[in-house]
Amino acid sequence: MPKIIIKWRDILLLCIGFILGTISSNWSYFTFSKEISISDIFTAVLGGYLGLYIAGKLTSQTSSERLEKDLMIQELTPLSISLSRLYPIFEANAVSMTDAIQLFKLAGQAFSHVSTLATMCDGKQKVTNLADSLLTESRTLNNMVTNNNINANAVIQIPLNQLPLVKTKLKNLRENTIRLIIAINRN
Amino acid sequence: MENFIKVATDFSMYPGARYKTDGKFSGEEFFEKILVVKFEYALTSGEKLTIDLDGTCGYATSFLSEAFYKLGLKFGAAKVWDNLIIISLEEPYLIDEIKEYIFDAENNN
Repeated sequence: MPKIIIKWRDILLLCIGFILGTISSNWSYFTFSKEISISDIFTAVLGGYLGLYIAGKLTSQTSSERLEKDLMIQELTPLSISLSRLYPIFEANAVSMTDAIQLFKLAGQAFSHVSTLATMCDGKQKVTNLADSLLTESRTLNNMVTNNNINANAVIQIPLNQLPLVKTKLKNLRENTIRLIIAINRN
Repeated sequence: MENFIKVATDFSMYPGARYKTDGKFSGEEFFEKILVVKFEYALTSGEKLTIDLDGTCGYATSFLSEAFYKLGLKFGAAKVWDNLIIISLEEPYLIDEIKEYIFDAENNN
């Protein structure tokens, strides 16, 4: 049998509904005046105008912020896909030099673009800081991976004693890229 | 001869790893065939050498460190840095990394 959960909000809405229903069932509670004062008309017009103005401003601000967020997220989406695609290949220590340098170029460009965009937009200091730290992380990892020799199949020879650290750093980079996307959405 | 190198067109769209034994388009090959020749010409002509890094699929650390470390080692870091203009709009952070490789040569010497 499905469990029914009753929240305080539901009880409150029920009470308000009951009170409104009781009042509206007896119209004698309400009185209608046949006089209209100029100040009331002025207040009503001003109130209506302010309501529309504030709603318009809020909508415009919300859509502008959404656009900024979408621009930043668009920079990170291809990187997130590449990191997921290449992670198992890195785990198998079988990544080619071409794949690795393309990945780190993509990462470097994405993080530095996001950092620049976040600096241009107000109130996004947290995103700027996160993108800057990810840029440093990706350059460190690039140095660890692409500073090695390659074999005859153009596969990078990452020393076995360095491999666990490379994997950990790559996993962190992958997770932190998703954290950055979440931070962009929340800020 | 122009005092200008565009890596993507003058060398390769796909720069490789460190040594010639690592395969085609290595840092060692770039240093020997292009960088050292153009840099010597730049010094003789009294004009700075401009290197445009944009347009390739990216750079391995081993490629950049091999080419620029050797340049710093051969001519001296300060002389190299004073006579280079590096363009990297796609990956601006590469300029600082290259500077490190050039000056590493002096520090390790």
